[in-house]
Amino acid sequence: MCPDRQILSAYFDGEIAAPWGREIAAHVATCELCRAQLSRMEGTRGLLTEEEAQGWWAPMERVRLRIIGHVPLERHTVPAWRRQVSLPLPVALIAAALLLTFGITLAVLATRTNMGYIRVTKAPAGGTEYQFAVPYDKVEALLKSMGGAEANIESVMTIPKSVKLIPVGEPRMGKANEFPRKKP
Amino acid sequence: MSSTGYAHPPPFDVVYETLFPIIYRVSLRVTGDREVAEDLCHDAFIKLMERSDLLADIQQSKYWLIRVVKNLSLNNEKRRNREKAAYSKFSRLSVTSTESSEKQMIREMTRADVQSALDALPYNLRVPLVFREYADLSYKEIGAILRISESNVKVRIFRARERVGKALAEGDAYVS
Repeated sequence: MCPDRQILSAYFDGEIAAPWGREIAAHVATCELCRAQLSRMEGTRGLLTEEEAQGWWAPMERVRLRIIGHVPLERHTVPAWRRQVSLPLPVALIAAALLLTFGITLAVLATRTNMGYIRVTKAPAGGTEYQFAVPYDKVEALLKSMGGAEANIESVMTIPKSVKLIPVGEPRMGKANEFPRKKP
Repeated sequence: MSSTGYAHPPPFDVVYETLFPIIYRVSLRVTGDREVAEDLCHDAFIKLMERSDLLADIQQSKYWLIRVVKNLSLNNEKRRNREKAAYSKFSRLSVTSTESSEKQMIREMTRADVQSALDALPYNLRVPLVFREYADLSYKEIGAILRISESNVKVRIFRARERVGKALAEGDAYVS
């Protein structure tokens, strides 16, 4: 009795253990049908494994070069500054507005730092009130320019709390006030 | 000493030249596309470079590489199934080359027929047959890679062989 064709296929692959394999070999030697079956498998294997001579050589060298250089053939990396970014129009407009606001704020702050600022307000009692903020080294120039003005100027200097004043010299008025309290 | 006969792990070049023909044939027959096969080989060998512990045993390296190729080829197979109809003709042509004599032409047609017959197999039949015929893996090794039983491997290889044999017979493939 002929073995199952699946068994014969496994036998053809050398996957049948020795005692059963010997049985099948003995059977195949006497069975025309099984020999034809094995012959067809041999023919299929021959077709499958027939290769171009050294057909793998060129691919092997190409892949070797890629491995050595780690150069991916189709994966070009684009620098971040050349990548295309697509945003929905509303988002792009909001981003542009934010950028513009940020830029203007920066420009104003930079101008204040270098030039000082002046605020002009109408005083409640009438007239105009000017508030200046100037760097320390410009104070003298500012006072000089105020001294030359014809208008009636009342000036108030506000010193930041962080500034500490160190008294220098004799505080005469203080001394004068203390004098009467001394006992004769 | 390892099974390769080397007292120390052989240089990567030696392992590469020994195993590339096998890994390339397996990749080519599983994917049916030379460029994809090269990409799979590239990725697999890059991964092998990072596993220097495997280099000492060429058989183990081969087994490991085939497993990597099988995993990598799965993604390709999904894409290929989507594009199969559009690219079936290209796939057939991609395994041919330019040789002039009549006998060579017939051989080229036969090779194309072989690839077409393999392409026509479902992935779960094609892979075990390719592993058996092109990588000489045992049923046990194939079962371990595909995570199926040996008897399942036996059935799949038998069915794949039957279908390929029938397809080649219908296509009058040239047998030298």
